[in-house]
Amino acid sequence: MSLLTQSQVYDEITKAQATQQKLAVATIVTTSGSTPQRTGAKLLVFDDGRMLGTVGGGCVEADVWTEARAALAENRPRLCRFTLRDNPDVPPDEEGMVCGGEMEVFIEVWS
Amino acid sequence: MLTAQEISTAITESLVAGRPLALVSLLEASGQVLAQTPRLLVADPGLFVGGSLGDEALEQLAARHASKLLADDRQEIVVVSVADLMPEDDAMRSRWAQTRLLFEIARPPLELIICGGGHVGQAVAKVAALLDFRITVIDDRAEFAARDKFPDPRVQLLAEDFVPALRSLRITPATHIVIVTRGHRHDEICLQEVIAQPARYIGMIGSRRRTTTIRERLKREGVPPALLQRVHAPIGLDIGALTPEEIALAILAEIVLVRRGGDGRPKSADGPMARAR
Repeated sequence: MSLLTQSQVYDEITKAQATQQKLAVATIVTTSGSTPQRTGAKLLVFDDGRMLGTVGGGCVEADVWTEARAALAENRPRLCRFTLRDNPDVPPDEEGMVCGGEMEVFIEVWS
Repeated sequence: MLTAQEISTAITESLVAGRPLALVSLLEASGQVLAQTPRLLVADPGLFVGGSLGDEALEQLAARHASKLLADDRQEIVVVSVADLMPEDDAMRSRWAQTRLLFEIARPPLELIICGGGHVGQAVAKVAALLDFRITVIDDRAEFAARDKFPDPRVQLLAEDFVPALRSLRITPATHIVIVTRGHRHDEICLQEVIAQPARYIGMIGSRRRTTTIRERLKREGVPPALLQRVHAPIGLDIGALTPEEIALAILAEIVLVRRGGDGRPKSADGPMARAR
């Protein structure tokens, strides 16, 4: 999986701005413990709901998307902390996920 | 405040020139995320390219740390507490408590030059494509520097003599060179051509005996020992590779190791490979 490069991200922001479109840029800035996520991974969420890039997929991606939508609505950047805990109701073997780490996601709004 | 357009232009200009660029963002100040994120662009070695963090002392610190990161290939993104950048100064530490900087390093895309379009060269191109290298293949035989041998349209093909082809390419610290021509004579010609270039990695195929002979001959011809020591020959990690594909894997494994650091040993301490540790 190749991640969005810095050039791609700022090109996309510039393009969006040229068409008066607002977007949020979510970046995984720190991780600790066991997570499949990579620092530096970026997800772009546009005002019309379109997405580009990935922060690693799975539930985290959905959570980041929700936060990005909220940041867009509020028009303010935010720093979110996520704990990737196994679901306590499901034994780890059945869930098959190897998580247990934490990560910080910085979400910025460009308009 | 830097605009996205300014950041985009600065990154593009820097990468085209083969140089990395650091983007420093004030992630939080005194525990607060600011409505607008102050940003600074820093080029190697610690040169301000644009933007502002709103405080000169903070910018100096940021530039110094950025130049350290720029010089280390493995660094891509890191968050640093400002207080950790000035551990000796208590007054400054309390002024910058709970203030963190995000450093993001944009690096030029990795380039790979493959000298030789034979079986090994073809396999190296396949494995390198997985790792997002920009690939150029040189072979003086047009039927080997050919699209049917390298179907990936992103692979640049140069059907020319090795020396003029190598001279036509820009070799930067983002360039990796794999020398796998059809014979030792051409391998040596390629090696001699690139040995003084600022490439990140230079590797040449061949047995230990053959590569030693080439090293010794180049040494007699006046190539400084420090340059000869940069050359990975025989090429690749020792994984017992036999087929061209396995050899390609061993070569790319070595390239990753050089770039990311590591010791090339099995990670498991008590698995079946434990004796190798």
